Amino acid sequence: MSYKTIVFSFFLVFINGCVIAEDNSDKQGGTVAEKRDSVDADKREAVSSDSRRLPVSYALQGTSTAVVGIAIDKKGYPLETVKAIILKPGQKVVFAGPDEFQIAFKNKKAPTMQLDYRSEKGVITVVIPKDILERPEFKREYARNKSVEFNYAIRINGRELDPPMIIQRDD
Amino acid sequence: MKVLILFLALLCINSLAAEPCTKKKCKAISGTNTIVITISMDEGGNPLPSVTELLELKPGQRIVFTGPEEFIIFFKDQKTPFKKSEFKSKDGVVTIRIPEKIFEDKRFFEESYRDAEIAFNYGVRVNGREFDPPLIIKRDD
Repeated sequence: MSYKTIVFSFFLVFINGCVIAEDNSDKQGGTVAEKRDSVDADKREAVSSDSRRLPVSYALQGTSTAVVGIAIDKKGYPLETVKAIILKPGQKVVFAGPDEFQIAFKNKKAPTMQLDYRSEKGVITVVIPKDILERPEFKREYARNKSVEFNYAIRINGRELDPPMIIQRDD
Repeated sequence: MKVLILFLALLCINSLAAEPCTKKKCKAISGTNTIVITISMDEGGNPLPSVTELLELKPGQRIVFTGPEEFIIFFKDQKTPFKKSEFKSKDGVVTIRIPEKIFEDKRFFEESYRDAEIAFNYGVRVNGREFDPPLIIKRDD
C-alpha cells in the first residue's frame, strides 16, 4: 500500500515573536531602543540557529497523531519545540501548551476549510484531510514544488509566532 | 500489573520551568501548566506511554494524553482525583487537570497528611489492552 506523506515543517525563524520583529538593517542609531532591537535581532538569530536543531516530529508510532508542544519564554512569547512535523494524509497534529492560544492560517489557505483554531482545554487539533493532495487548490502547487506550504500563526496573549508551515508529499 | 502513582509532595520550589519528558521524568512544558503524555503503540498493539516511570505534576496542572484515536484513561480502586474515574478520548485526546485544592479534598486529607503525598492508580486502555506506568505528580509550594 502506497502512503502519501505530508510534511508539516515549522521553521522557527522568528522565535521571540514576529510581532516584535523589525528590520534594523538600515539603522545606525545608538538609542536605547535601537540597541535593544539590535540585541533582540541577535537573540532571534541565535534562537533561529537553535531552532534548526529542534527535532522533527512524526506521528507517534502506531498512531496517526503528531504532537507539538508550545512553550512560553520569560517574556511571554511562544516557543515551539519542534522544527517540523511530518504527517500523512488523514493524520493529525495536536498542539498543546498554554491554557489559551490560537492557530490562524494566513492568506485564506489552510489544510481544511477552517482558518482559525482556538484552544479548548489547552489543546488544538488539526486534522489533515485524507484527500488533501488530490484537492484542486493544492494539486498544482504540489506538482510544482513537491510540497504545499501554509503560513500560519500561533497567537498567545496577543503575541504571535508565525513560522511557515510546509506540507509536502513523499511517494 | 504496574501501578501509576500520583504523588503530591510539599516542596519549596516555585518554578514552572520544565524539562523535556523522558521515560523516567516529565515536567510541564516551559512557561505553561501543561504536561503532554504521548501514547505510542507497539507492533503488537500494546500502548506505550512516553512516560513509564515517573511523572511530576503539581495541583492545577494539566495532563494531555494523546496518540491513538480511541483510548481511555482510567483510575483504579474507585480512587480518583476527580468525580469520575474514566476519561474517554475525544479526537484522540484526553485532557485532565489536577484539582488546585486536591490537598484539601476530604478524601485525600488523611493520606496527604500522613505521607505528604497522594497516590492514585491509573492506566491507559487501548483496544482492550492496558498499560499503567507509574505517574508521579509533585506539588511545589
